[in-house]
Amino acid sequence: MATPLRFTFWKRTLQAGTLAIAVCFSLGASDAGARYDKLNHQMMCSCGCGQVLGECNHVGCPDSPVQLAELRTAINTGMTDQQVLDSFAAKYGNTVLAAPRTHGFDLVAWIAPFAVLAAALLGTVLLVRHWSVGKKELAQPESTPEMDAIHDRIRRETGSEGGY
Amino acid sequence: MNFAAPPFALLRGSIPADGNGLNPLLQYPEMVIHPPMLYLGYVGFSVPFAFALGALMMRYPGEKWIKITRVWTLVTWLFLTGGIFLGMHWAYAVLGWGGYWGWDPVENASFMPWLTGTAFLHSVMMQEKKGMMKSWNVWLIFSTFLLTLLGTLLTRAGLVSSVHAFAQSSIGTWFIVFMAIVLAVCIFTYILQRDHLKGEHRLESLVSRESSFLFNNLVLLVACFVILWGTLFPILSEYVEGSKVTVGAPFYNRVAIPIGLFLLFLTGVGPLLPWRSTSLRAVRRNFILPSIALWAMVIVCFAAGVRPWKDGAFDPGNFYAMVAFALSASVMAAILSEFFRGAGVIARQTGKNLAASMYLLTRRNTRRYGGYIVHIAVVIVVIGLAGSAFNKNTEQELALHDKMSVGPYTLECVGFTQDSNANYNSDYALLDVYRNGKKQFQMAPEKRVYLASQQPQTMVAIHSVPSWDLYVVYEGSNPDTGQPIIKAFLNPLVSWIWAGVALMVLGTFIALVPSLKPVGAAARAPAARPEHAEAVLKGGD
Repeated sequence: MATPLRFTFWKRTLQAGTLAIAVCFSLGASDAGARYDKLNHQMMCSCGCGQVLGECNHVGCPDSPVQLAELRTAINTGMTDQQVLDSFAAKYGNTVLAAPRTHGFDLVAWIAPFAVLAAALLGTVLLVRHWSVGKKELAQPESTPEMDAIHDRIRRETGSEGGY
Repeated sequence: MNFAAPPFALLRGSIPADGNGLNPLLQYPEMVIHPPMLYLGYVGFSVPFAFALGALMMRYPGEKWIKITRVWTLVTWLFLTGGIFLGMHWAYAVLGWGGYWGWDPVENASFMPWLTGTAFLHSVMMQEKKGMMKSWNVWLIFSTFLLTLLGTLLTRAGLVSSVHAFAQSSIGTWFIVFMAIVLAVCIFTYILQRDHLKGEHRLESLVSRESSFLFNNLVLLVACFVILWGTLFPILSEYVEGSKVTVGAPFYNRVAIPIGLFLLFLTGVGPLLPWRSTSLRAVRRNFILPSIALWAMVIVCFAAGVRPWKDGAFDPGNFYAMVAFALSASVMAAILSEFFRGAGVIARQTGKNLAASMYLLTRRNTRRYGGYIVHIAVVIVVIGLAGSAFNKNTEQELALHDKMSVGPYTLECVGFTQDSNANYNSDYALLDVYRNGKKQFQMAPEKRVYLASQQPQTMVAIHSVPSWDLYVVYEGSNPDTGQPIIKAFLNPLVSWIWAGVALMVLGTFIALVPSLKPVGAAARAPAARPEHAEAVLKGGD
C-alpha cells in the first residue's frame, strides 16, 4: 500500500510544480517602463553597429535615438508587443529584430536546438540501456572472497562506492 | 595567404604620413596578449588533431596518442580559455556598453572549439581508463580542429556580419576548400580504419560515472551545435527565404542558458557517481549534501528577494539566476565534499591535519583534483554571469555639482573639461562617488577622438568590488550646454568572473603537474597491502 501512496504524492507534487511554472510563464509584463526596456532589447540598432537597440552607445549614432523615440510612441499608442515588433520589421526589415520570429521558417531556428538535445539524450539513453541489457546476458566474472574483502575495505576506507 | 590576401600589400588611397595608427579599440594593454592567446588556442589544436589522424592512419595501438598529446591539449585549451576571457574583459572595459559577451559571430567562433575541446578533455579519460569512446574521441578532436578553421573563416571572410569587421579579407573560398579537404581526409581515414577504434568496454548503467561523462559530452556538443546553428542561421535563412535575419542575444539567452544550466547540473552529478554501476541507495546517499545545499540556496534567494517573478510577472532573468545560484551551491557542495572525504581518508591514514591532507590529496592525483578546482572555477564564473540578471543603469546630463544615483552610490559631477595630446583629443568628467553620505572615491570617465583615424573611443571608469562593479561611461556632451552625459551601470558579481578565470588557470596548472609518487605512503603502509586497494587509497585512478 505504501508504494502507490508515495507514487501518488510525487505525481501530485510534480503536477503542482508544473502548474506553478506554467502560471509563472503565462504572466506577462504590463508596466510601460518594463515593456520599453524589454522591447528595446528585442531589437537591433539599424546603424550597422551590430548592437542591441537598448545598448547602442555610439556618440552621435544617427539611428538609435530615432528608433527609441519611435518605440516610446508605439508603446504610448497602445500597440501590443507583437504589433510593435511587426511595425519595426516592416519599416527597417527583418534584421531589426534581435531574434528570429516564432512562425514560418524562422520557427526552425527555435525548434532545432531543443529537438537535437532531445534526440541526443533519448538516443544515448536507449543506447546505454541496450548495452547494459547485452552486458547482463554475459557471464559475470567470478568473485573471490579475497577480492570481495578488498572491495569492502576500499568502500569502508574511502567512504564511497568506488570513486576514481 | 601570399596570393589571396597578402599581408604586406600596399594600401591604396591617401594615407597620412605616419599612417592611420592602430585602431583605437585595440589600443588597450590586453589586446597585446588576447590575439596571440586565441591564436595559440586555435593552432594548438592542430597538434592533437595531427596525432589522432596519424595514429588512425598508422593504426597505432591504444591510447598512446592521447597520452603523448595530453599536456599539449591541456595547454592549448588553457590558451583558448585565456584568449576568450581576455576578449570578454576587453569588451567590458573598452566597448562601453556595460556587458562582456554580445554573442557576436566571431565570439561564437572562438567558443565553439572551446566547447568541443572541453568535451574532448573529459572523454579522453574514458578512453584512458576504460578503453571506451575511441571513435567519439577521434571525431571530437577532428571537429575541434575543423571548428578552429571555421572560426578563422568566420573572422576573416565576412560570411556573417560581425563587429570584428576589421579582420575581413577575401580568403573565404580558400578556407572553405581547405576545410572540405580536411573533412574528406578525416572521413576517408575513419571509414578505412574504423575497425581499429572498437571499444574494449561498453557502458553498463545509466547511473554511472561513464554515463555522466557521456551525457556531459553530449550536452557540450549540443551547446556547440546551438551556437553554430545560431551563427549560421542567417545564411541559411537568406538561402531559403531570400532575406537575412538577426540571431542575437535574445535567441541565445533563451536557448543556450537552459542548456548551460543543464551542463552545470551534470558538472555536479558526475563526481558523485561511481564507475561502472551503483545502487540507488548509494546514489541517494551521495546526493544528500548537494540537495540540501541546492534547496538552502533557493531559500536564501527567496529571502534575498531573488524570485522568478517581478511586479507580478514572470522574470526569466531572475528565474535563471536563481536556478544558477542553486545549482552552483549544489555543485560546490558536491565537489567540496569530494575534497573533504578524500582528505579525511588521508588524515586518518597519515595523522596529518585537514589542510595538509588536502594538499597531499591534490598532489597525489593532480589531474583529478586540478580538474575539480577547474570545476569550482566554472561555478564561480557561472555565479558571476548570473549576476547580470540584476544589472542596473541610469543616464543623465550633469551640470557642475549635479548628482545622479545608481544602486547605493551617488555620483556628483565636480568638473568636466577637455584635453589633447599628439595622439588624441579627449573630453572627461570628474565624479565624486558617495555612499551613505560619505565620499568614497573619484572616477574620471573619458571620451577620446584619435587624430589620425578620427575615430572616437570610450575610456570607461570602473570601480570593482566583490559584490558589484560601478561602471561609468562618458556618453558624450550636450552640444547646446557642453555638459557631459554620463551613463552609470551597477553590474553585480562581475569580478567573480575574472576571479573564476584566475582559479581556472590555477586548476589547469595543477592538473599539468605530475602526481606525487606514493613512495612515503608505501613505506608507512603495513606489510602486504593489496595493490588494488593501495591505488584507490592514494586517490589513484
